[in-house]
Order: sequence, then C-alpha cells, then structure tokens
Amino acid sequence: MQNGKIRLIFTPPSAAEKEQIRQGLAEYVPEKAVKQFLKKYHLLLAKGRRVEVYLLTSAVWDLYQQIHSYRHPYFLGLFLGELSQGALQPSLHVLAHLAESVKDSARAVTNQAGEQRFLYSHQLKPQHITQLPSKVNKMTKLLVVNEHHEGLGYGQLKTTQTGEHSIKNQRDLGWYLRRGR
Amino acid sequence: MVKNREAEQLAQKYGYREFMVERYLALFGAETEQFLKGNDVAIPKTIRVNTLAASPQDVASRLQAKGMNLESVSGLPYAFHVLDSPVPVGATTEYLLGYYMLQSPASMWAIEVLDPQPGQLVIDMCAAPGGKTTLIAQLMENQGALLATDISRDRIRSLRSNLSRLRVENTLAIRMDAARLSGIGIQADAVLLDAPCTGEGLIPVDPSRKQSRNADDITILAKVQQKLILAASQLLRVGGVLVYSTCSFAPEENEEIIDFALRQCPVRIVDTELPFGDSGLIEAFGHQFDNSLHRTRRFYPYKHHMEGFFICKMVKFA
Repeated sequence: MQNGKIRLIFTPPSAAEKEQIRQGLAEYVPEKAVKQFLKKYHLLLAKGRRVEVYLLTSAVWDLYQQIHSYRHPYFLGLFLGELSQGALQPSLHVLAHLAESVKDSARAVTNQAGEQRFLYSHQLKPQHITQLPSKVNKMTKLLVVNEHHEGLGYGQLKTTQTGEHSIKNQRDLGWYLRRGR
Repeated sequence: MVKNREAEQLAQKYGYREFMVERYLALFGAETEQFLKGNDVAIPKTIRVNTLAASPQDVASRLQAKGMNLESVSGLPYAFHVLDSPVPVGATTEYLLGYYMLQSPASMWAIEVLDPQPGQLVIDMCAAPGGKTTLIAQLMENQGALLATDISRDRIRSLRSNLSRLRVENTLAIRMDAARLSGIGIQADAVLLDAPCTGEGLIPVDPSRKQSRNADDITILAKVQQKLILAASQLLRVGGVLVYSTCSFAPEENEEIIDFALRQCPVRIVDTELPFGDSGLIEAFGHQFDNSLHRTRRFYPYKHHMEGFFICKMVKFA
C-alpha cells in the first residue's frame, strides 16, 4: 500500500462513500447485520492508485491518530475491501467475519470436491453445487461457501444451454498460496 | 592446531564452514559433535491454532479427519506437532481459512514469555512475515493495539496477508526501520524484538545455512541488533516488558547484545519462567557478561528437540 511514488491520503469516508460501503455489504448481508457490524468500528479510507477501506477498533484508531503524522501505515485494522467505480468490492476475508450472517440469496454451497476445485481457482460445475439461492439471475454474484458454511470466495453464476448452473471463480482464498505469502 | 584439525574434520563430516565449527568447539567443547548431529535430525512441523477463528479441538478434529497425525505440544494448549500428514500442511482449506499457522514452538514460547494482555499497547519491531505478530494478537484476543513494523517491502506483504488470513484486527503495520521507531514517541506496555540474525538455529529445517553465512555477518548483524535494542528500550513505558529473541547460537548476537543493553538502558533481566532450556552464557570467547544473563534461555535442537533459539525477558525500571 505505501509506495514511495504514490502519496496516499488517509481520510474518513464521505457520506456518499459510506453509503457505497453499506450497499456493498448489503448485497451479501442483511441491512441490520451490516449496521451492527459497522457500528463497532471507525471507517478509514486509504486513497492512492486504489481506494482501500479499513475498519479500525477504537484502540487502533487511537494508535493511528498518534502516529499518522509521523508515518503512514502500510496496513491497519480489518481490510474491508476496495471502493471501485462507486461500489465496494468486499475483501476475501471480511466475509469470514460475517459468514454466519450472509443471506441465502447471496450464497452458493459447494461440496468437498467443489471446495478443492474452487480453491485452486477453477469454476464449479453443476455436480459441485449443492445449494443455490431460490431466485437467481444469470449474472448473480455469489459468496461460495463449503459444507461448513465457511466462505471460500466469490463467484458469478452462469447458466448453460441446458439450463444447468455453474459458477465462475472470481476470487478465492487459495490466492494466499498463489500470491499472498 | 589440534583443535583446528578437529574443526576441519567435523566441518567436512557435517557440511559446515570451518569457522562455524571452530566457534562451536569453543562454545560446546566435548558436546560439539552431539550438537552437530542434533542439527541433522528433522524436527516435526508444528501448527498453532488461531483461537481468534477456531478452537484447538475443532481444528484438530478436522485435520485428523484428513489423515493428519497430531500430538499436543506440552505447555502450549493451542499447538500440535504434525507427526505425519497425507496432505500438504500449509495448503488445506482450514489453513486458508486462517484456522492455523505453521510455527515453531520456540517462536511460540517467545510470545508466551512476552505475555501480551488484552487492552495493552504492544510493539513487534521486526514483524514480517507475522507468525509471532499474529500470536501476540491472539493472546491479546484482538483487543488493545499492536504496532508491527518491518523494513522489507517484500516481507511486509506477507505480514499483511497473514494478518488478514488470521483475522487479526488490532494491528497497525508500518514499513520502516524499527531502529527509527522511537521518533514516534509512544510508550508501549510490551515490546518484542525478534532481531534479524544469522539464523544458525534454523539449520535443522534449512541445512543451506551451514554454508550461507560468514564470520562478518555476525559482526554486521550485531551492530544492527545493538541499534534495535536501544530503540526498543526507548519505546517502553517504565515497568514495561521487553523480550529479545533470535534464532542464533552466536553469543555476539545474544548475550553480548543483552550485556550491552544492561549497560546502556534502564532495563534489568527477569526470569522467563520457562521450565526448560539452558541458562544463558556468562562467558564466551574470553568475554565476561553480566551475571544476570543466566536468567536468559537457550534452546538447542540436540537437547530440546526444537529449533535453536535465544530468549531474554527484561523490564524497564526507570
């Protein structure tokens, strides 16, 4: 995040940005749960080439206030995601915090065989999907969870010519092994 | 000369640089060959369950269902040795979900000695890739604040990934030279200085270290360690705890640094309260150190069946 060439600006979100964050989470989680979740934190944006959204506990917020004039943070608190083109792209890990609250309408469940495929960035075929929302659009974006209802990543629903559903992998936790460490 | 011939023979037999074996002969005497043999014995992998995300029992059950043979680590209720595994330990779904971390018991003991508490302000001065940082956050129960610094651009990316994966949310990470950190002007309850070192203690897991360092590295790193421990002392509040650790056997990187700190900073050594480990050295290579260094702890692979490590706990008194 911190880069010698790009000056980052740390700032609390504007009212419009707050609304984008709220809406972004509400795609996956009921409004009430979003409100409860966000209530616990201070919101902070890091604006550079990208706009990153962080959630800070009071103690981390206090520490940030003490040091930010001396040194920009590289990373802080809980990374909520990125604001891009007026919408929040939630991070892979933030939905782990909210996994139990994720709406059925935003979640696809995969079996163990699908779990392994998905974590290696492959798409889910019909035989890997054990549960889909009752109403789905062709391009619905879903949180993919395993049989323990643990978030594995994001996918986009696709419908084949025979009417079967598959899920295209958009992002998954296996990213950590491929590029994160 | 007799000793040099012995060093040459042992260095050849066990694949070390000769200067290293000369030093080991001076430190360990008759036990040197046992020490060298011990470094060639594989150490089982150990995992640390991230109690911020899951319970040790649940994680153990799931991993055992995948065929892993686990054994509890005495004294560390969240840790298991992996005796055998049909699947890669660092690539399971549970690993990706942040339920556990691969970590050596010696690293975990360093944090147990630090004893971070929920609500405190803690500093981890050389934090990446974040194994110890995430354990500090775990023991702090994600409360209070943890300032983590590292100078390396590449390594701090790993720190970020691990903080996210292990669901840590009480940490603020900065990329900078920790020796300059005292300029920030904060006073912490506890500071961990797991100093950059020659890493001889890691030979059992990375035998390339038998050949990858030279004598100058010890001198260069000792200067860095001196700067860092001065900064660490300045970052502590009076009564605060400083833990200094390395994965080196070299007295120049361990006892000599602490001896320097005792002379330069208002800190004194206190017991680690660890029930195992050898006492720190009071004398090495003709140098005499402060007597209180016997309260520090040294771990050796051939004696303690874990990576080589040094831990010293200090308290700031003024």
